[in-house]
Amino acid sequence: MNRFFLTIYRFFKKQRALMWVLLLSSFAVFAFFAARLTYVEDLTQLLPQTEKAEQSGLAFGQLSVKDKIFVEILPTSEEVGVEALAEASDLFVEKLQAKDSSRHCINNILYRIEDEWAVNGLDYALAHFPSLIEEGFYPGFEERLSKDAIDAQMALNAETIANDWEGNATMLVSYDPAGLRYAMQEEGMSLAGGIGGYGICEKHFFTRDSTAALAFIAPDFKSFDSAAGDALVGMIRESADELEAENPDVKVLFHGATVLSGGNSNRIQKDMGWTIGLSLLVILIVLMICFRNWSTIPYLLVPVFYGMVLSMACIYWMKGSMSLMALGLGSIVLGIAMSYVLHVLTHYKYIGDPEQVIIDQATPVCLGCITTIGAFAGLLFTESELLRDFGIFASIGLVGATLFALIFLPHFFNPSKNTRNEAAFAFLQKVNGYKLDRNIWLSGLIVLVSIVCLFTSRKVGFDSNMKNIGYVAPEVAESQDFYAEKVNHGLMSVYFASSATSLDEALDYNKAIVEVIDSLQTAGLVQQHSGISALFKSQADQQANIDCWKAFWTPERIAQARKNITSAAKDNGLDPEMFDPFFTMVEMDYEADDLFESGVLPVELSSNFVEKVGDDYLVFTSTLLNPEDKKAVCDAVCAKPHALVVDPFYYMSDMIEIVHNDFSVVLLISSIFVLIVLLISLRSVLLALLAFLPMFLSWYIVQGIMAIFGMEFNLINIIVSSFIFGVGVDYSIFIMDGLLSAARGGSEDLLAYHKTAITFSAFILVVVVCSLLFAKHPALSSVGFCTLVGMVSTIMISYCLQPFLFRLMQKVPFMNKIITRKK
Amino acid sequence: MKKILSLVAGFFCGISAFAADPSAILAKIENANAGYQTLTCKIDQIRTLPNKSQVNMACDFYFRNSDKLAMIYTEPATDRLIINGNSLYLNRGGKASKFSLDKSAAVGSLATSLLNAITGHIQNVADANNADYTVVEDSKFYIVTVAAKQKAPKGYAKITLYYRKSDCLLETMKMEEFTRVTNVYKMNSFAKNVSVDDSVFKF
Repeated sequence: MNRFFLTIYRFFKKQRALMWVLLLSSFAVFAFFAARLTYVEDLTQLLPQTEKAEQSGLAFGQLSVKDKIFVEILPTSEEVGVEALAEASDLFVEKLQAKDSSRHCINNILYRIEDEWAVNGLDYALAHFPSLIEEGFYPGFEERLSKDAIDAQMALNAETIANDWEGNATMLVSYDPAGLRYAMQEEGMSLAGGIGGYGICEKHFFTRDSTAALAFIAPDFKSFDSAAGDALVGMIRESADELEAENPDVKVLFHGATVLSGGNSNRIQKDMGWTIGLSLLVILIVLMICFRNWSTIPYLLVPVFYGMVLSMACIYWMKGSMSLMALGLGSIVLGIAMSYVLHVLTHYKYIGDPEQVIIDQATPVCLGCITTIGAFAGLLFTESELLRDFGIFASIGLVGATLFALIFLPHFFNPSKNTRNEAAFAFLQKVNGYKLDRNIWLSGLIVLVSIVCLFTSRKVGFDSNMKNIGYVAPEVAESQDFYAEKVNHGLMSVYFASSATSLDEALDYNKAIVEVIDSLQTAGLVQQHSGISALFKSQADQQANIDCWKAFWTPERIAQARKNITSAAKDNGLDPEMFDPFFTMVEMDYEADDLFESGVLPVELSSNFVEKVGDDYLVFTSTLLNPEDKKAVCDAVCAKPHALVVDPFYYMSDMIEIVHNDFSVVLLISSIFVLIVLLISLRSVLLALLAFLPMFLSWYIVQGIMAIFGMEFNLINIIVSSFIFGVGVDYSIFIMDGLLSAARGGSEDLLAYHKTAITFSAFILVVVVCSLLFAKHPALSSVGFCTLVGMVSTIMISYCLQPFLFRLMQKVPFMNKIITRKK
Repeated sequence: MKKILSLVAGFFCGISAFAADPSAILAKIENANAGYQTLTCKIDQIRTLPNKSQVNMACDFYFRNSDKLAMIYTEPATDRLIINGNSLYLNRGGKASKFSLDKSAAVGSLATSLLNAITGHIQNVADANNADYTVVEDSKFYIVTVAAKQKAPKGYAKITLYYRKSDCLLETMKMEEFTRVTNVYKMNSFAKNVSVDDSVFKF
């Protein structure tokens, strides 16, 4: 390997122009194709499909109902009443719609009952009344059509009419002289007073206790469109701020999937900005001080950038797109590539001879690269597209950076201008020169910790709940809590849906779901549920209801009713002909109709009940339940055909468990691969096991310490932990290389040089990782902890335990023979 | 002979209403009402409920040909009915409602009926109410009766319009609902082409 790169170096040294042409042209080509790469932002597309999710056949990214944004307008003082809140609600929506007029981020906003809805609803109900009447209502009807009942009701009717100046009550009486509506209410068919957990005041949606006005914003984009989401959240925030400024007595809160998503990405950007930004500044300052050369920075960054561009171009050629999250995670891993460049640079600072740098560094750098790629290559065999993208990006990126560092970078070295901060390097050598492996207590402590962690590592948990690694801003949490308390009464709201290619079929499947939910409610697992069964009925059900109506209203019954009503009307001074509308309704012919397609229900309302996604209809039923019962309820409902939970996190938990299980397999594959590479390179089982020791032990130490501290792995930090694995491999390889060089009569200083480079590399990684501990985003701070523990344990084992065991091996004759055997 | 002549005279005098060419009458009414930009008047309204009780109401009427109409009640003072383009505003007893005419068929029909009754476009009134119409005249009025073709749970059973023969202005409008609630509007103090402030038609 040394000869190979040395040959290339010498060739390009004579053909500088060719080298520059190759470098620049390759970079241009890679950059061109990298720029054409598209990115997938929908995380649900990137996780493996479970059988449950596949059966649902649903792409959650397409569902609109889960993307709604909930707005609460509440008073800040007791003097603000319902009318003022309703006006504030109008004003807020007006401002928001004005801002959205050019951007079109909003599909609709439900915040009040428009006057037409009631009129249209009444017209539709009158025209299709019998189709809504269940068979169970007719015994009640029969009771109310008796002479005595009609007489009693007619007296009430007369009183109602006498006091009715608006005319609405009179109209109701003329349609229902016998008070049949009361029989329906007794059977539970009523939407009066509110819908679900909401009330209606001043025609506006309010919480049931009227303490806050509510608005529901339906975005006109999918939740993974982060740019549109940011724009919408920005507009809502501006509208809210303006309203609060003009009306100090009200406060606006809002939450929803889009808000959470935007909050997450903003928090990540801020955290990354000030943590990694600050830490990079510290790192650059330290490196500048130590290397004393402005060119150090481009020497460090250009190879990494080259590798990244090569990787993105290769992915473009292979797939055309990649996960944005994988790109973000892969960027962290490219820090490993920087450590290879640091090894090359540091060695050059010591010896000042590019050819000698290549001779000394080519093998360990390539070995480190191959084993690290082996760690990531295992990800290519997972079921998760996210992990596959991450594996490909990291692997190819490392190859590119390594090749640049060994092929092109040495040509930029100018021995005549090679400087370093002698004091800093001397200090580092002094620190690294401390014989940690001679400290028996330290070695013993490491062994003890390793043994303890080997046992406790079995208890480390894995949190598959993606919500726990999301960031929730305090004001969003306040909004969520308020809504949960006031609307959901402290319970969790879960939507279920039935899906089919026709609305009637979906309604039929929905009936089965409602039956299950009813039984779960009886068992106490569901506290409340509301759906659309009273309004939306399949054509077959409607026709059955119409047939019941026709069968009930025989000519004899109609004649008797007319006689009773006429008589009672006259007794109460009412014109019997005013009840003609009732008999018109009784005698009319009716046909089944499609309420959803009729357009009577505005989309602001209907989208909460029925949604058309592609060719599929989804019919929703909402439930309120205790969080601890959610899984049991979801599992019971999803056992029904064509039923699904409208909560991607329910399916994600399974998907993430797959990723977790995949990851265990990946680690095993990677471990075996690394061991094989080490065996081939070191040609000794003992040496290979010794080199493998730091990565093996550090992984269990990380798990063990996390278990001790009660911390859990999650999707994010378990992926990043593979990066610890890669680092552990590299450090142990370089330490082993240095130890073998000294034992075989080679350079005694090589170990010191490697340790200096390792120190720089570890310094960079520890500074970045420590800064993440201060991040407010839970995913980032969880990465910080496990990575820091992994880094520290890897370094301690590589610096202390590995040389200690190496020296022990040197004392055993046959082992010493293996160690000192030259290649 | 005298007897015969008396009989004939009596016959002609006795007929208070007689059929004439409906098309010609309607055309005359339409043309007459197309001849002004604005129309104002006073309206006395009597609302009769199914229990025969009556409510007396009064309003000032404003009309801008052909899609703006305002009934600003003086009795009761809170009530309003305003049609402006594609919207209808109703305030009854302090409760305000606003409708978009193209989003509500029922309200659209009401607006169409009122506007076209004023302007004499009777076919439009009939179409809006799924009704047929007849036209007769007496000594003072052209009487148009718009009657629903069939019974319905809602809407107007009959709308009777009395247009003055002298100037074809609508003097009386009687609207009978299927629920037997009847409203009779009697217009007086007409003024044509007077200045009408736009604020009258604002909600």
